[in-house]
Amino acid sequence: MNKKQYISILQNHLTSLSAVERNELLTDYESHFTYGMENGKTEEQIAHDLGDPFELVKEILGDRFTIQDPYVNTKKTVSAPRNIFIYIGLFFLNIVIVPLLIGLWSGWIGLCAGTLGALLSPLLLIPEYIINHTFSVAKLFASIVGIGLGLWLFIAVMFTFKGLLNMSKSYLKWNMNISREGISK
Amino acid sequence: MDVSVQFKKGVLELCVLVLIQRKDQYGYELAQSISKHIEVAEGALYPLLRRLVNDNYCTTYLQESTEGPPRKYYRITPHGKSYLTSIVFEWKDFVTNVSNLIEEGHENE
Repeated sequence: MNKKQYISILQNHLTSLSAVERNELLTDYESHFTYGMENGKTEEQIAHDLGDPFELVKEILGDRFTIQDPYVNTKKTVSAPRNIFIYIGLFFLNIVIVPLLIGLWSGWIGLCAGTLGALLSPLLLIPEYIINHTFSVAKLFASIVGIGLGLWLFIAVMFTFKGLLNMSKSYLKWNMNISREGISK
Repeated sequence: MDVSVQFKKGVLELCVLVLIQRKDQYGYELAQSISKHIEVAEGALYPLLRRLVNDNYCTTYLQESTEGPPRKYYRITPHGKSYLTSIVFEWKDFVTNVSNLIEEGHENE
C-alpha cells in the first residue's frame, strides 16, 4: 500500500470526525510519511509500520464514539406504581406464607426431637436403674419398640426435610424473581 | 499475538509520556523511539497523542526544520508529569504482583 492509498482510506472512513480533527490527524499521517521517506524508507514500508489502516480507523473512532449497548435503551421501564403494587402484594402474601413456613419448620423440629427421643429411649433405663435401682423387662421391651418407631420416624424426618427445604427454596426464588422483574422488565 | 497487541496498546501511553518527559519529540521521532523497544502499529500513536493533548498531559508546538514540513513537537505538562509518576508507580506495582502470581503458581506445581 502506498501513501496515497493509506491516506485515502483514513480520509474516507474518518468522515464522522469534525473537519478540524480529521485534518489534523491526516496532516499527522502525511508528515509521518514525509519524515519516513526522508529517512530512506519506502512508502510501503512506512504504511506497514503504521499498521492496518482499517484497524487504525476503528481505534480512532473508538476513542470518541463508544458503541452504545443496543439493549440498554430498549429495556422496558416498568412504571413505578406497578412496582409498588408488586411489593405491597408480596408483603401481604409473605405475612401469611412466612409464618406458615415457620410453623411447618417448627413442626419438623418437633418431629426431630421425637425421633431422637424414641431412638435414645433405651438409654433412659440406665439412669432409672442407677437412681431407683429397679429394672423392668417390660420397659426394656417398650424401649426396643421405641427404637423401631424411631427408625421409622427418622425416615419421615429425612423426607419431610427435603420436601420443606425444596418448598422454602422455591418460594424464596419465586419471591426474588417477582421483585426483580418488577424492577427491570 | 492478540494478547500481546492488547498489552502494548495499554502501555503505549506510559511509554510515550516517559519518552517526551526525557525530551520534546515530534511524532515520527517518537514512533522510532518506541519501535526501538517494542513492536507496535505506529499509527496508533497519533490518536493517542491527540488524546494526551486533549487531557492536558502534553502540549504541542511547531518548529520549522531544514528539510520537510514543520515538525509538531510534543512537550509534557506539569499535569502530565504527575500523571506519569502515578502510572509508572502503578505499572511497577502491577508487574510485581503479576510476577509474584506467576512465581507462586510455579511453586505449587
